[in-house]
Amino acid sequence: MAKGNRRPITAMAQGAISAQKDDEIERLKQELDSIANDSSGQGTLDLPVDRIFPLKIATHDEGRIIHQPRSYFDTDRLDALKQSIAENGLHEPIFVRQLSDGLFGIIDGERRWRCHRELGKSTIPGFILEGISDEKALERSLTSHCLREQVSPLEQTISIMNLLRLRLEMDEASVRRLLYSLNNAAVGNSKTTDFEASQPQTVQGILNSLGLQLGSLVARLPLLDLPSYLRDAVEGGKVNPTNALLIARSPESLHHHLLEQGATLSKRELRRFITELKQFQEAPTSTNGKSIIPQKTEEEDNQPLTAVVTAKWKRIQQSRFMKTGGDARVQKKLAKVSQLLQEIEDYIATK
Amino acid sequence: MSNAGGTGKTTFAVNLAYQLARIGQSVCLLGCDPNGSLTLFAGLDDPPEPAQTLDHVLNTSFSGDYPLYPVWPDRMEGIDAVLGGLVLTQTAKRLEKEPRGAYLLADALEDHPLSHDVLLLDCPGTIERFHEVALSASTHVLVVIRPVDKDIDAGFKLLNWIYDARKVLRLKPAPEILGVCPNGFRKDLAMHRDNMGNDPERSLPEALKSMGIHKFPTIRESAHLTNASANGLPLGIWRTGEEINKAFEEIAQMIVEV
Ligand SMILES: Nc1ncnc2c1ncn2[C@@H]1O[C@H](COP(=O)(O)OP(=O)(O)O)[C@@H](O)[C@H]1O
Ligand SMILES: [Mg+2]
Repeated sequence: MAKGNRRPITAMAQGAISAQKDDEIERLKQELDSIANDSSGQGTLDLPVDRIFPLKIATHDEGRIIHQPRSYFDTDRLDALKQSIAENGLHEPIFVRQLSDGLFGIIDGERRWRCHRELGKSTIPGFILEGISDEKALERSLTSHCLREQVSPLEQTISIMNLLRLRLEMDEASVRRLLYSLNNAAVGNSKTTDFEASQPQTVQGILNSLGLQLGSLVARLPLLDLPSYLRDAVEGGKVNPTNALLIARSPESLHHHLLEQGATLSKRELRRFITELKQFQEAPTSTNGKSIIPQKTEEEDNQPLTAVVTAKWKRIQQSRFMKTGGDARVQKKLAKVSQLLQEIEDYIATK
Repeated sequence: MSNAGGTGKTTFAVNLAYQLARIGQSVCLLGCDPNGSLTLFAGLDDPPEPAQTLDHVLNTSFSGDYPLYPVWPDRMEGIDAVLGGLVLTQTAKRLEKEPRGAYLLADALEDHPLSHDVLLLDCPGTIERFHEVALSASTHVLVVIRPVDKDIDAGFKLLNWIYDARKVLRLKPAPEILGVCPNGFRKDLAMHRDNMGNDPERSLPEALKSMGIHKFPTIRESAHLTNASANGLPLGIWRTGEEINKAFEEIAQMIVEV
């Protein structure tokens, strides 16, 4: 029979499918909650650690590949978790699915499993989820990863983007474009609706379930473009995402110095620091080609602080900029140094 | 539930009740439809007063005195009904103003549990206030669909609504979708054959499978079923040997397992 203009059943089902997926996140959340609150360990089995494998699925969706959610493991955090497991045992069982021949694939809990392996434990408490396809496993894995509090904002953003790619069946660039245009529409910056009717609903559904605002996700998107050293620093907890983004926007020549000196500053302090460094860079003295940023020499590393301070002071006095007395900014800082020296003097007097 | 009139919900409910009772389950049918066809299909007379209907249960002051009517009492034991009927149009209006309107049945059943093994709630044709009332009181939802485009489209909208409503109503634990039962199948109709076939674009069973929703055995259209209902009897009593009874039996068995 000719199909004519009859609406395919697959199209009729679209709304229900999208609502069902949002609902799944909701249930997963409830499930994670109830497991977290349930100390009886019902339904949990002791699984053999050496028969478990990390999730290794790449969905080939017209050439697009989505990898397992966790590709980065911060060793410090891993050590902390390891220690906690060694001392108190595992609080939350992991989720696995049955592979062939008594092997298990991790759906949620790769970090916990790694810790057990490294601690030389032979079993790990886990839940076996039945009948989970590759696609579902990946989706579930991404979802629970997004929902975890211990994941970093960058990791979470990566997982959310992957989840959106999976749901919307789009590549990353298109998902980003969609998020930007949805956000623009939401804040009233544009009347363009260059997205399909069901897309806003899908995105909003996922964000609602994850308790995330569209605006905050959009604000985090630039994290995905950080140069690798900044990304590593964020992942390793050496710099917070906001500061990393500030650093990324500053001149590249300053990045390493900022990362070393400014990573732990508050956002405002870091902003000021960057402005100052930029002004120094643009100041006439920098035309001699020498970096204006005070460089620590090798010897200074091993010297007592008094010697380091003396050396620094000497260099400053001899600089061409200071020969003409410096400027107001320098004077202000010198006042601070003077103040600090005074405090030391006062303190010594009490000893 | 369904999202179209005449899909066969009430027929399904009474026949399921009958098969459940046959395997030793006690059942209470709750008529949530103003059309009152449950009363007819159960061979009962319209209740004389609102106090003898579900309206009475849906009151904040309800004290547990369910207006229960035994169904087919001279034939078998274990089936009761709380009847709906025209008064429910008034009830729906009243529920709009009640703060816990959507939860009144759930509240009643929680405060005054019925002793039956299975409760079957027979909802109206299209989504309305009683769907919320029923959903919040349910552990499982079964959807009946006729295999025509209009009903299938509406059926998926109902599923969509259920997923959303579970969240909005904050139902914990959320009622599960037990499955979808295609009813009234005619193999001489091309549209029925198409929709129940295996063309992935055009197939209800395939669409349900992809969503992981169970499909119950398909129930054929049968004049015997219409006649049985019109005579206020389940098909199992009206025509014991009829093939369709097997499908209802199978579904009853499944429900007991759940
Ligand atoms: N499988 C079937 N074969 C024949 N008639 C049916 C079948 N299912 C339902 N009917 C008839 O269709 C009409 C509507 O069914 P009903 O159960 O009242 O639907 P609903 O409760 O969904 O409105 C009734 O007359 C009923 O007897
Ligand atoms: Mg009916």
